[in-house]
Amino acid sequence: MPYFPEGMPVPVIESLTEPFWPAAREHRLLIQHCTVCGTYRHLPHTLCGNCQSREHDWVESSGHGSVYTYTIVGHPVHDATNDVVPYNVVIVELDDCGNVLVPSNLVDCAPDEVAVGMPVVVEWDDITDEIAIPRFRRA
Amino acid sequence: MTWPLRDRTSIVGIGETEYTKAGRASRSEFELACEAVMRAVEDAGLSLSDVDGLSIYSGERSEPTSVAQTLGIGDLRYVSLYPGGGNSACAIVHHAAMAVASGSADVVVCYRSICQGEFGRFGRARVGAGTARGPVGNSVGGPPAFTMPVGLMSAAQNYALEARRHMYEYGTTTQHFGAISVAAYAHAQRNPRAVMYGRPLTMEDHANARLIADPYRLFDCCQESDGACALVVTSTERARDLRRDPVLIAGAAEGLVGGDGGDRLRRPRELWTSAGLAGVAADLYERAGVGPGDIDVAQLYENFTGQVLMTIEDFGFCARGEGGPFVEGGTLEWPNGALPINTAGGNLAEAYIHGLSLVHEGVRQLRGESTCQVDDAEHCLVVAGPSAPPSSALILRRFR
Repeated sequence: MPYFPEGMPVPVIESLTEPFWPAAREHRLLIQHCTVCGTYRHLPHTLCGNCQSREHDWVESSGHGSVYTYTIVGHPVHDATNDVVPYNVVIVELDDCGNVLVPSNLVDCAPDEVAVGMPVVVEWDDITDEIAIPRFRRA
Repeated sequence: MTWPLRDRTSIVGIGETEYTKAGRASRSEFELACEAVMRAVEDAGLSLSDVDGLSIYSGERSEPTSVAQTLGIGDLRYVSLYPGGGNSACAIVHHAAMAVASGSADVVVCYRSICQGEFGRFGRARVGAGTARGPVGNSVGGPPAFTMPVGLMSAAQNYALEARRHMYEYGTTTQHFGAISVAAYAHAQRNPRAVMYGRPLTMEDHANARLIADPYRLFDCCQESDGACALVVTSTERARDLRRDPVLIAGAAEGLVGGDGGDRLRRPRELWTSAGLAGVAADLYERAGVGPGDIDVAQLYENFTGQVLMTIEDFGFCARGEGGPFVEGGTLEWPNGALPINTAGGNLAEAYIHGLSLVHEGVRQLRGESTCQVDDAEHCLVVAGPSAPPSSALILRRFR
């Protein structure tokens, strides 16, 4: 079951993120990686913030990580979330890929059970024929 | 070398409209802007034709060209627009001071006007525009493609993530955040201009308020307000001949720590538990020639209470991570606290005019006109939006 109801914003595939979303639909979590200096980056950017190169490839993450921080949203600011509050938003620190931070949600986890440091693993949420969103669950 | 601008420029006039809850303004945003500018210039004892510079920040919808033409301002020689939102409330005063000190302008007015009834509320999520393929219904491109579909779509939610991390690393509690709200509300009870005048707040009220984005509840969040304010900057030399005692701009600083920036996820990890203002603080104290121990009163921008706590740490009133214990026991409350903050009620309880009204309260403190007047106040620190780079801050000094 999708984490959010219909009506939530859906990502558009753009040139910068062309590799990310098709891989996500195949349930593979790709992280952008500078092929000049080796720095990983997420969210995707056109240039490396470390060496300013535009050369990059995409590296598949194991999807394992831990909760770096989180919030429990009680006040909906978008109509699609009116009936799902309280919901959690987590920032996951991946175990690999330079420990980049990934904004997501923790599925099957009550609000009072979310905790910083909790080990998690990616779980895919197919929301359209083109788009799957990486959520996480307790590992 | 002493900062060449130290005390050379001053705030010589302040003007405000009435402040109301968002959507309650009886006039347009543009009219509010014009009124605030007129009142500030009148307070200074100047005429509108003396104004030759305007300094504003991003999101200001009352165009300087329209304001100048409508108010009969004379030849405009300097106009400045700073990026961002509330982070810029002190930067526009810095820019006004630089323009005056350099001789590029004589009298610069800084202003901010907000009428959310006319233009919509800030706290709501905005979706759909500006993707590479154009707006497509509820589709999002760019960085929001990774945040909005996970329900991360408001300022409160983003700043709550930092507050939670500070709690995890340092043992900070929601009671510590509550001390910041309670101080602001207590001060607002003495300020008839405050939107929350007549609405006192207890620690219990703070703890029981509805959840916005954990750990933030309602009273941890700035208000949404309508109103406008403006202030006049000129040289301290010219200020000596004007109607009011000037308030000296002892120091002004702005900027960001290397690695900080628009992508919150890419910042160095230590910035998750900081206001990102350590560099601004170091510059500011050096420029003004004072330290944290010289600050008698402070106006600290509250986007959210946890960010105020981190501001207190960044400006050296306590060590990093010790903001929680520091604010316990009434430290922030006038008249007995060691560091009274937001003495007009601040963004939480006076009004949220994107922080510019905090500069006004700093001026009142050093004129001896605050409704929570700190005895013999000589230095007031004013800090603009924390954790929102590039941010900015001022140290204002009493004239005599």
